[in-house]
Amino acid sequence: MGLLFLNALKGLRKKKVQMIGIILCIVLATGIYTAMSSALDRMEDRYHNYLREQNVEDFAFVPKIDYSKDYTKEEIEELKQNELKDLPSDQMNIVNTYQMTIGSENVPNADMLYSYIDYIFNLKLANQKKLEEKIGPATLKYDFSYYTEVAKVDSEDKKLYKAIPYDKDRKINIPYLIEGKMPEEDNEITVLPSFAKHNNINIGDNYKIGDNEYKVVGYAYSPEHILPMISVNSPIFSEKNHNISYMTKNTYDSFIGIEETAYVAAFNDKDKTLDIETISDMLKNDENIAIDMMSFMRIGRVNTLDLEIVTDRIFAKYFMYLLLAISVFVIIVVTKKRIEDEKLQIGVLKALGYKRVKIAVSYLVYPIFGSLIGGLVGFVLGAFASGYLSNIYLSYFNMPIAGYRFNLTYLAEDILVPLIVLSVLSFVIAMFMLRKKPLKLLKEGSNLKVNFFSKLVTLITKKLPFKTRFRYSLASRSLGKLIIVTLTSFCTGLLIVLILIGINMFSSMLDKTFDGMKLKSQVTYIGSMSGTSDTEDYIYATSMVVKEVIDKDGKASKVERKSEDSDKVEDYTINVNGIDNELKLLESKDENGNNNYPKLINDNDTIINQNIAKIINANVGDTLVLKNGDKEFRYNIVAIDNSFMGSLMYVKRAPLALELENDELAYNTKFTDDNKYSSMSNLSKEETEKIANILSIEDLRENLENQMSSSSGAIYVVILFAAIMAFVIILVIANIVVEENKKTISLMKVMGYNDSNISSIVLNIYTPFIIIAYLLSIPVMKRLLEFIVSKLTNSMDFAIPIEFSFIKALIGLIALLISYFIAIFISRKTLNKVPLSVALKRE
Amino acid sequence: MSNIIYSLKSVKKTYKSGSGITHALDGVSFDIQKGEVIVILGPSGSGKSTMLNILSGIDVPTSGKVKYLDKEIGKYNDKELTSYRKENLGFIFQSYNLIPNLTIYENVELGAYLSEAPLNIDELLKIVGLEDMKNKFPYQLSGGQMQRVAIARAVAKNPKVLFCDEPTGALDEKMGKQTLKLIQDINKKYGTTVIIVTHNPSIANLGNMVIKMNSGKVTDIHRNDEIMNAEDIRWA
Repeated sequence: MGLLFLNALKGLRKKKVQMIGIILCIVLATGIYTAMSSALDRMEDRYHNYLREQNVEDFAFVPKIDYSKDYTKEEIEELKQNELKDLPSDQMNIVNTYQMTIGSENVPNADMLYSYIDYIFNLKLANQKKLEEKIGPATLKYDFSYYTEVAKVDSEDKKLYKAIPYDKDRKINIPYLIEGKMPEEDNEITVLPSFAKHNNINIGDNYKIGDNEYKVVGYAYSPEHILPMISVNSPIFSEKNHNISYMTKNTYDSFIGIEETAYVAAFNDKDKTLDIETISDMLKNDENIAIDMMSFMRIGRVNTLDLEIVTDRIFAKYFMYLLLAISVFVIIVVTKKRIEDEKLQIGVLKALGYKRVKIAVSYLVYPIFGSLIGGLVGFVLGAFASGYLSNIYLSYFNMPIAGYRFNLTYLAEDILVPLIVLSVLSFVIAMFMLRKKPLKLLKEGSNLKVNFFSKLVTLITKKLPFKTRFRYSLASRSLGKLIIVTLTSFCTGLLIVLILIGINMFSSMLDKTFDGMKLKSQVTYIGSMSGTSDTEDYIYATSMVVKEVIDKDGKASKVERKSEDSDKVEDYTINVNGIDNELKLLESKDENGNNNYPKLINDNDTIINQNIAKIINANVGDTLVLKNGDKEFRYNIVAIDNSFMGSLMYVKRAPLALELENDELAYNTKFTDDNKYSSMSNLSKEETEKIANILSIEDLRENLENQMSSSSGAIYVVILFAAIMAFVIILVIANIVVEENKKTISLMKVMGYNDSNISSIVLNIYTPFIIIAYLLSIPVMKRLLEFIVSKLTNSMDFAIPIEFSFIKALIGLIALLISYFIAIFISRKTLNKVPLSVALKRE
Repeated sequence: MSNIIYSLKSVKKTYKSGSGITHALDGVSFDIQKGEVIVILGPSGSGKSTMLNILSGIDVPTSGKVKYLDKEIGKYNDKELTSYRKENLGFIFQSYNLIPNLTIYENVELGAYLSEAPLNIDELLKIVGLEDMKNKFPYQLSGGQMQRVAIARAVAKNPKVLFCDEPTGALDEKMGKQTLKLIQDINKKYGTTVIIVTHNPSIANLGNMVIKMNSGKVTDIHRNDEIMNAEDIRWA
């Protein structure tokens, strides 16, 4: 058996291309697995300890203060003398209004009033005493500690800053210092290390935010911002533009920004870990505290990494299996070919008395050799690449990571998994193929038989030119190789189509949404203001629940949205924006490019956008039935806006404001192109205090475009990888085709066919199958994407257009064929080396 | 006008191998007339296959002159040799070398495709007696039938010279004689020069000229006064 194996090993030299192809597949499979697993180890090794050491919050809650009954007029009066004494006049008016309504049965616009009061009281920490009455019992009941966390968000020159007052005694969400020190003096700040790196900030440097200069004294992480989503207006973290700074209380107080408050809790039992849904259920019926949407967002910042680790590990493992499966196909083809080539030898060995098992074992040389070399090389490359991958993770997740840890398990897996899987399968294939009796193997011409598929092909191609018929007959000779090449082309086609649709999907969505936007900022106010403007757009916005859609024939359909995680039916809430005739700074066009605003004529006319239309299945002419509190509203759809992000609905401002018991010029949002709103330092303190949020459209678009370009980078890596795999497989197959047809090639050379003629007949046999496989992949991927997008649209607030043009299809096909023809070109060298004497050999 | 189709002068072919130098052809000289049947006879290792390779442009001599119709093919490059074979030669092999996935008709078409004025394939199949089997595949034929297809393929492009390398080596007496008869008929019908390389001495009686070879040298060249018919030869 040793001699047979040695003989097979020597034969490897003649099968260089095939061997390299197998090794490459294994290197890719094991390399990616090792790189991802090692990088994830570094994250995971540190992650749980980090959460524990910094006592990261388990959840954030909102105290359930019932403003309709929890406060008395006297209590409000006391607050007005103390915590609320410095309120600006318009906010004080709101407090006075509230005070007057205490004890009343029917409070007009109660929801809006109470939410303003809640905001003001939280801002001024006026709720403290009431909160202690509410929260105290809850902390005992559920055994947790809590902390009132405040932060300010400021936007300056396209950069987003979150300021947190540093409290060295805080016990929850303890900041993590990496280098330098935490702020001790006023105007000292820490910055995120990634922000420092991308903006060349060293410890000891002065750094300006708005009009104020600060001294950077350290680099620190904010542990509850592992995924640093600083603001909902810029959802994607930008290392260059987003920063979190700790500062002293005094510095914080004078920092200009939009303030937010949160009550963060950590269980006293450090081993207690509950997911947010469980906590939400736990607190569902609690009288004193509750979980809101902000809690889910906050916990997402902490838990997303956990989910990422779990899913990425699964991905790494199954990706390795997928690539090994591809290697299996290649090894099957190569082993089969070898056995066919050596059938005479095998016949002799069997006739001499060698058992089938002994002969079969010698064919394990491919998987053994491939696994040993491929696994080792893959491990080494993966170990190096893991550093790079770790950096990619760190660009998304802010936390310290552990150093590289040599993991013998990965080395063993990288070698043993391919070795066992590929060896077992090769052995089974070899045993199957060696089942023939020696006499049959020794018989000449035993490989002349033509299979049914080949005969069918001959019949179908009868009328075609000779060269084409010849190609098809060669291709049909081995169904196995044909299937492998077709499948490979189909899978590569799927990826190419995904990329071609995907590249433009988001940019098309962004273009359709952001084009026609002349506004630079959207400003949202705490209370309602009053007025009109010639240059800005004043909007009265409120949210309503869409209850029904009534079509032109009067048929009513209920609007229900099912929750992603359970089958619970949820209300579909949308933003209703009351506008004056038309918006100066934001176009509204239908899909044909026609201006929608002139259609908004009557008080109960409405324009909705594509996203809403798709979700509730509504068309122009339908009537929407909505509810705001107890009030029902009916609007006729007169036009559909061709934007895909958000749920946009326009109605006339004055009637809406009046209906909600405001004056007809009331507004709470405005669109402006005034540059002063791009930096908080441009605004007065008085104005800042009236503002609930400023959304910079420019920053949002840039933020999303940046995310797209980095996602595109990842997508290009995937397609490059797919192209390499397809190339390797096609190269191996082409190489085998040349070997298999050596005699035919030699014969043709002897007869007088030149090399390029022979190449075009023998090597181009798979071209039509590759084209067909690619064409089939287009509708399959399109349908798959449409299915995925329909699921996404339901759970998120945007619709995504799926567009795939003829030009794109052509580009994809060209890309695939280039890969194929390069493989063919390389195989021509092998073909050109086939000697003429092969045809003259006697069998 | 000269009737000589091939002219060889002191042709040598040597191979360098690990154990030294092999003289496959050692100073061979002779002429071949157009339209004749030439038999090159010799045992294994005599150099007859090397001779066939040199004459047919599959290989080039180490020294000496090989002329085909006054053109020195011994100095041709690969491209020129390919054109020479394409435009002038037909081949018949001992192991038939039919393409398994092509029908009989298509196998003959493989040869016809190379010529700008090929012979009619159906007629050729009639000549070789296989007109009823044109849609069959090689695996459905006997050895003799396969060889006849190979002959039809070789002749399809109407070559000036037909090289036959041990054409009856894999056939029994009956099939072998049938094959040889066919080759003779083609020679007579189309005036094709036929060069048969064989170790079977009986076949020598079919040729106009017999060239005997041993150890790379021509040991004897003689012309047959009487050409035997293929059916009449004594099978060795």
